[in-house]
Amino acid sequence: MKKYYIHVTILLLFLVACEYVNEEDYFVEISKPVDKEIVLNLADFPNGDTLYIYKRTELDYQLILPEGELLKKRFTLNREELVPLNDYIVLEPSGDIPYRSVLTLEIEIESGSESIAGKLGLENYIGKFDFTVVFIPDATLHLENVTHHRNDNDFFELTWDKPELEQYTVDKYRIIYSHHRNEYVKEITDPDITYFVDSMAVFGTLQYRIETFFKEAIREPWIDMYTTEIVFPESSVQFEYTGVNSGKISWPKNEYQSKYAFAIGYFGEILYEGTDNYFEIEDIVEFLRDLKVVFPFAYGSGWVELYVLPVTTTDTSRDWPIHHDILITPSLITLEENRGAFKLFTDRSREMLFVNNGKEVWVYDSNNLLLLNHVIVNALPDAWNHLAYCSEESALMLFTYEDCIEQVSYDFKNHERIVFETEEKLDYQKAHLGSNDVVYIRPVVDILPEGEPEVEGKLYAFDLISRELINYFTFPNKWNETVVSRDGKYVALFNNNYPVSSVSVYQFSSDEYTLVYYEDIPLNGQINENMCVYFNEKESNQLFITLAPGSYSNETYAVDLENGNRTPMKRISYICSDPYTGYIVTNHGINCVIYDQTFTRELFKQERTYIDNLFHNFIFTSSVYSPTLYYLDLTNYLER
Amino acid sequence: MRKFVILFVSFFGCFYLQAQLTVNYSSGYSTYDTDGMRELLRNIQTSHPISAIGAKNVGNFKASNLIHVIDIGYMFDKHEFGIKAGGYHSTGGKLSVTDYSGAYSNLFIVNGFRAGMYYRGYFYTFRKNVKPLFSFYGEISPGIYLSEFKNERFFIVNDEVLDSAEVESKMNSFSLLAQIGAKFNVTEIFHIHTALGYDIADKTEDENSAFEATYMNWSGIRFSVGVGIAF
Repeated sequence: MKKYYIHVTILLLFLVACEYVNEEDYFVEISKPVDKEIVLNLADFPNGDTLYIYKRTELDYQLILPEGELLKKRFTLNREELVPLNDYIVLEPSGDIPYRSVLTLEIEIESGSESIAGKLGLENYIGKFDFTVVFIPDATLHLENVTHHRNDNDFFELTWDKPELEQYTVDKYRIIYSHHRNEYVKEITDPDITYFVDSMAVFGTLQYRIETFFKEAIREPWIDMYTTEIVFPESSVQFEYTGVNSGKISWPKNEYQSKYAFAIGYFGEILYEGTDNYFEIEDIVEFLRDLKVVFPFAYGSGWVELYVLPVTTTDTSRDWPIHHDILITPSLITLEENRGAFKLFTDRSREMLFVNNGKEVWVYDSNNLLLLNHVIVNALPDAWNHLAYCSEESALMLFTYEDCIEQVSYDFKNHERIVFETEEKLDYQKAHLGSNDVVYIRPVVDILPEGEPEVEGKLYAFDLISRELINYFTFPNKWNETVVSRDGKYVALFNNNYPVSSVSVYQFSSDEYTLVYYEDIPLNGQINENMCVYFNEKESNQLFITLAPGSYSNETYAVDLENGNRTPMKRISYICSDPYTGYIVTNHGINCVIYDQTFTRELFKQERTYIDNLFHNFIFTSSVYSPTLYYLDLTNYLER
Repeated sequence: MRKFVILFVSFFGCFYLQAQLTVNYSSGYSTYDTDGMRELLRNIQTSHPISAIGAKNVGNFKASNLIHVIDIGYMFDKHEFGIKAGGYHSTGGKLSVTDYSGAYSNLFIVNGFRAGMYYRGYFYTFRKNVKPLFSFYGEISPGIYLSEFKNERFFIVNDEVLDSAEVESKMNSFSLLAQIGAKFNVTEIFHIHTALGYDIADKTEDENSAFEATYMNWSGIRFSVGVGIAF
């Protein structure tokens, strides 16, 4: 109650002395500023969009801002501030960035308003832009499955997979490639077309630069290089016989529609141009002659150039891809490795052609070179510098070696080692078997000290069957050369004494040697000049004397031993003669001429052709440096 | 019953002592020191963000006011003592700014009510016909100020209330009023009087205030004129 009175008293006092009252307000008359928009263009992505970031990406941005002081421009990624560069920000996937992040840009521009809110910054122009950012760090950022194939029209077609990554929207493809030293650019504006047909792409190294452009401005173009090589394997260009003296040169058919141009030799003249992957050679010899190429093709001059060209081009130049190759001539035998020169000998009566190399013996039909037998004779030494003969009388093959002669029957069932009983050591390796089954063999010529008197030479004649010494022939100088005719009828004795050489030809009989020809031959003054003497393989009474064989000044003439007639000198060297036809193979350098048996008529003349043997109109070429025995049938040509 | 006993004893005492019961009402003018509150307003006005929005001082703690005082006492001979109630003081200050975007108002009101005892010594009395006509007196009045601090404030921007409060706290302080006055007896019972003096009061600081240095000093000149009865 007492408190009540106190309160009443105080109230009364308040009534008479009122509490301070102030209802005055300071009102400021001011107008509200006009709203202005802040516009952000972040790489053309609308606000709120999702950005896919696959690699370090620069995001350009443009801001359209109202007038006023820029108070705030803040990029944040997951609330962590990014430091923008002048007009772009950089986003890059890394291990510690979440797969899905939030990119925010906050912009604040001073409005300049004088209102309370304006002065407090609550009326500023504010822009806030949010983007979802998805980081995909391990995406493949280039075209996948770029490959090529042959399309239905047999053209080269390049294909690839359309990019399927988010926000990699293909705008166009640009393909840059070159042919014939010209660069071509092809643009494909339809993103669904993921192939490109290059009708000029036919061969060689093909390289394409595929540039993939994307509609998103932030996406850098993809650059994909595609390289492929369309080539023929080595030894793809083949020569094959289509008949006697006719042939065909062929090569693999190109995978793509194309035409071909064929040339022999480096920068050679184009011999064929067309869409077929071969061309016929009607006359091989003339073909060789016209081209001045060497037979066999692979024997040093088989370099060929095969232009593989688009069918649409009319230009055949070396700017197009060229397949360089060696034109392979069909070989009778090709060994896996080089084992020295082939030894060829023939049995005329049986028309058998034997080929020996090392321990191997091939037996062919000399008419058509059909292989009759191939045997590895293990009893034969593994030598390369021996000689080989056959006995037409006894059907035996003889192989001469340093210490003996190996005798093998035609059927390879019998083998015998022959060593003749003499007081002197015989030079078996240079033994000669005549078709009369007589083995001619000389002793080993020892080198005597200088000043020693000359020692007479000997040529023993042994019977092949009985191994009995028939007789022997002596001559004054053991350094003289002896040559025995195929039939064993004649022995030519000659020397290379300067300045005058001599040739003596003796006819062999069972008990004596009869001089049937003698000639002194003055040499021309060149110390190193020498001479060689040969007998025709078919007609042994035809003697060939070649001066300076193999040299530029070589000369050869033939002597008929029956009447002593001589043919005129020919500027050639004797090579061999055909035991069947008597045709004489000569050369001058690398130029080859085949004469008839009279040594007067040229049957075959071919520049740059090597011939080692001529059997039954088949020419053979081999080399100690090549494991291949080439052949060419000249029958028709030689018989024309 | 006890109240009646006390009242009876008082009347009997007064009668026995020939004392007079006096009741005085005075109204007057008082001054006080509002520098502290003014400084508070200035500080607020110059502080952020009030300075930024340009709040204006629309009431800056007026340092004088009318007062009303009631004395109830006993007077015998030249002495008078009793209780002094009154001296109600009220002052305030306000910061304000308003526009379309918001409003800020910060109103401070400080009320002080003085209550205490008083003693008057009549040192000169002019009598007419033995009866005192007017007297001069000195007065000492110890008392306390019951101070009340009120703060009503709001800060609204863009319809968002940034700050709003109605805070009230009460503090007490001692004071000693010394004044001299004169009393003129119009009748034997009714008199008029006037007084002039100075009230010395402790600073009253609002310890609960959200602002620093919120204090009021009620010290100041007191001048009053009033009427009274004595019986």
